[in-house]
Amino acid sequence: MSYLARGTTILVVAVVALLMFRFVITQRSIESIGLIESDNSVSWASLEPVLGASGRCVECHTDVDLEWSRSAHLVQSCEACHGAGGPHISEGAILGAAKEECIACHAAIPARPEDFPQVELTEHHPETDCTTCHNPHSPAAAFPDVQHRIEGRQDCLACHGEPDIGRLPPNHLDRAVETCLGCHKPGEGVEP
Amino acid sequence: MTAPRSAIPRRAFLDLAGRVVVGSFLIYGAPGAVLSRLGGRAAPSKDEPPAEYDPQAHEWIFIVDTLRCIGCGRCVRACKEENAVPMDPKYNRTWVERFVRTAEGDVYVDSPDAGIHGFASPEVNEKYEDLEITKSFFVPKLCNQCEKPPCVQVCPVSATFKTADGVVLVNRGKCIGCRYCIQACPYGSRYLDPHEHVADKCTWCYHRISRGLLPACVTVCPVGARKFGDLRDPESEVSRLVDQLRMYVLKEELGTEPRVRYMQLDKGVR
Repeated sequence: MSYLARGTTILVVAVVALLMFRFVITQRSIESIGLIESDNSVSWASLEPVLGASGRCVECHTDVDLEWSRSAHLVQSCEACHGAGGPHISEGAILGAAKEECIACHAAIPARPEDFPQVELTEHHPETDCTTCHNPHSPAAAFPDVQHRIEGRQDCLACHGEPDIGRLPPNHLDRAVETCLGCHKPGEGVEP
Repeated sequence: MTAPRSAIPRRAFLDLAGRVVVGSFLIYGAPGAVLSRLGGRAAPSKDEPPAEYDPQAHEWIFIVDTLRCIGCGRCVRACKEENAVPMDPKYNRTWVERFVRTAEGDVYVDSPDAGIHGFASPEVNEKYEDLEITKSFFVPKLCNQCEKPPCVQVCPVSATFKTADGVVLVNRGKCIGCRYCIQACPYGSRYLDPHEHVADKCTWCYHRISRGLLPACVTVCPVGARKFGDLRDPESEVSRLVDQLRMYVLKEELGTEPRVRYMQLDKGVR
């Protein structure tokens, strides 16, 4: 009887020892025993954000806000095109956006969804800067809604004299340039 | 001559052994325990941690819509700006892949410079000029923040861990830079920080989400191809999408249970 009890005891002790050993050699135990405390998520959470909210930019840039907040680009964050705003605030860095920024999204490539507005770079005025016709803060998909930027001089015919974007009706051909703005207001639909 | 056996009496030996065991714990164990409380060479902290944030109250999830992505690469750039990831295209916390299916039934995958400059330049498109493309689309990728992360399992020093709200982070003070986790990750989401020689990975911008902001890549995505939110909030867009749509995960057969879900995913994506 006693050797049976002894055998059982040895077996139980062996199983318990094996389980303990198994617990010790597995990864999970290291933290639960308290040997290592790896969780430093608080220190990760305390890092300072770099990209801000677009709402902060238009606190100063109210003129841009007026255009942007009504445009198709309203869903874009300012820093998507202009990059992180931190250097602008701390060092006064100027955050311009180049033609590459427009192309990055709007160049026609096969992998893009078909309903996304795209242009063939080789066909759509390859030599012209996008901002000559389009205002990136208030872009438009259809041509008549393109925001015109006419500053002082009446350069309407620079574009509207060309055949592909001419849209100059036959009875307008001999009219003087100076008369355009008499009937048409740039930036508001161009129907007279 | 006395036998060598009695050179050290048993009592003296046990006494010495006991002192060695206790002493070595005091010398090696105790400072380690103290250091681990301090967190060692932890991530730098400029600002106070957000006091109100309770990780137990959130369950973050990330949804990618591959049909919307236009491959502009803004996410890759924003991620590098936000998290000071080296601009070298070898190091990325997130990247964009392009999948191209051809009439011959082949699938091509490319990710020039991780997609940071987009896919519009002629150089990255010329290799497809002679192929008949039947379908092509972009797949943004990032750390899947697995529910059962292989990287956490293999770390020999338990330097990488899972938070209560479902993000896998690295304790940079504990990491010994052995690269085992980089090998173990089936998604290629980790890299070795070339400056500090510790493993680095996407944190879902833990410093932003704990302040109620969106991750940087989600913030700048111009088409809403990246979505982020809290499953505990039944009103959130992600909760609604998860309830209504069939979601896919990458390499489901590995049983890692990723927290990055893909909507409308092509079968060819790996």
